[in-house]
Amino acid sequence: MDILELKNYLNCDNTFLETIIQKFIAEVQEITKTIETAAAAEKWPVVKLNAHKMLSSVKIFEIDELIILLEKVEINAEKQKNIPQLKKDIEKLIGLSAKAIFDAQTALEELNQ
Amino acid sequence: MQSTPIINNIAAKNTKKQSFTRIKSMLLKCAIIDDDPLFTRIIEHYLSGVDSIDVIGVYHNPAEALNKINFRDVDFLYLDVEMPEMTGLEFLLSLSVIPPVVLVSGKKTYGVDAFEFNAIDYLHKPVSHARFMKSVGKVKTHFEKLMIPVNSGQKNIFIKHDGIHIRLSVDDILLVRANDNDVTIVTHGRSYKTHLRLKDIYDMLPQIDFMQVHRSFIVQLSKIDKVDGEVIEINSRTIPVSRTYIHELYERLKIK
Repeated sequence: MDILELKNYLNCDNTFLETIIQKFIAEVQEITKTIETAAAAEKWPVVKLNAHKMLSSVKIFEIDELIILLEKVEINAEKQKNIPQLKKDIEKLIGLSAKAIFDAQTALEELNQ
Repeated sequence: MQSTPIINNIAAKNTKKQSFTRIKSMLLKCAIIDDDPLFTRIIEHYLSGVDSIDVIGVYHNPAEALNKINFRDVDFLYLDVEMPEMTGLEFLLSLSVIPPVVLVSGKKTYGVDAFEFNAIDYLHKPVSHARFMKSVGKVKTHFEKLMIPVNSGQKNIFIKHDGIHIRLSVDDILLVRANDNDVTIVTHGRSYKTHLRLKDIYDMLPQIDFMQVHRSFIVQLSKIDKVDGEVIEINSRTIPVSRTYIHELYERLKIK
């Protein structure tokens, strides 16, 4: 996550950037939890919906690995095909989301220094 | 989400033609409809730096927007295409009059739909500040064009009738009707058939005085004798008014 690049992209000051990063953290935490619960209950339309929603936020932060995985999860959850692989991808997604949250928190600390 | 049925459905509707009065001051009012709160926050931030656009509401659910927005108070929408329960395109089709819209989507596949809905712009998420400001420029141009009465002051038009170009006084024209293969211009004294398209004639006329009220009819507003619901009368001729145009017609005739 390149803070300076994001600041230019959004044309904003540090206060707004902080707001956006905080929102991102909250959103990813909430959506990841929802996806995890929905996957356990095999509610694939819910998984699809939330993967799509998270994708929009993740794209702003250009987290490529997560973008590719979310796109894959969104498509496969919609098609409800190859469920074992979908479940594996969701596990991976949860791990990558945790990493994205950690990176965002680090970026917040950098911003506040 | 398949786009074809929507494209077929929209053939029955037209996008809203803004009234001349609402946008007189060029302070545009918009609503943002997108299920992603992070994205709407960014759009609000971008628009906070644009003096000529006011955000009158942000909705994360199209059903909520349908209930809460008074569309008479909104000049245009920022509308996400892919939303749960109801897509942005389904949302537009549920409206009796489709407002001008900037479509937003995380996918690039809705370009055709944007075209079909006469979208002012189509933004692909994520949207940088630079790209958004370009879009603001398009929005302003769209409304500025509506503010300039086209062909204002035009007194005559030339049309080809029976192989020769003849001059018609604009003031004499009561209405223009599209037939299967040609168009008839009806004046006080007589009618003229021409092979121009209805749109071509509309483009020649002063649009402050004339209005398309139906896909087959253009009328001179000052010649309307009666308005009865969705029917108007000019010189004892009855002309239907489409649902798409009825609000604008009532506004332009100042009928309360």
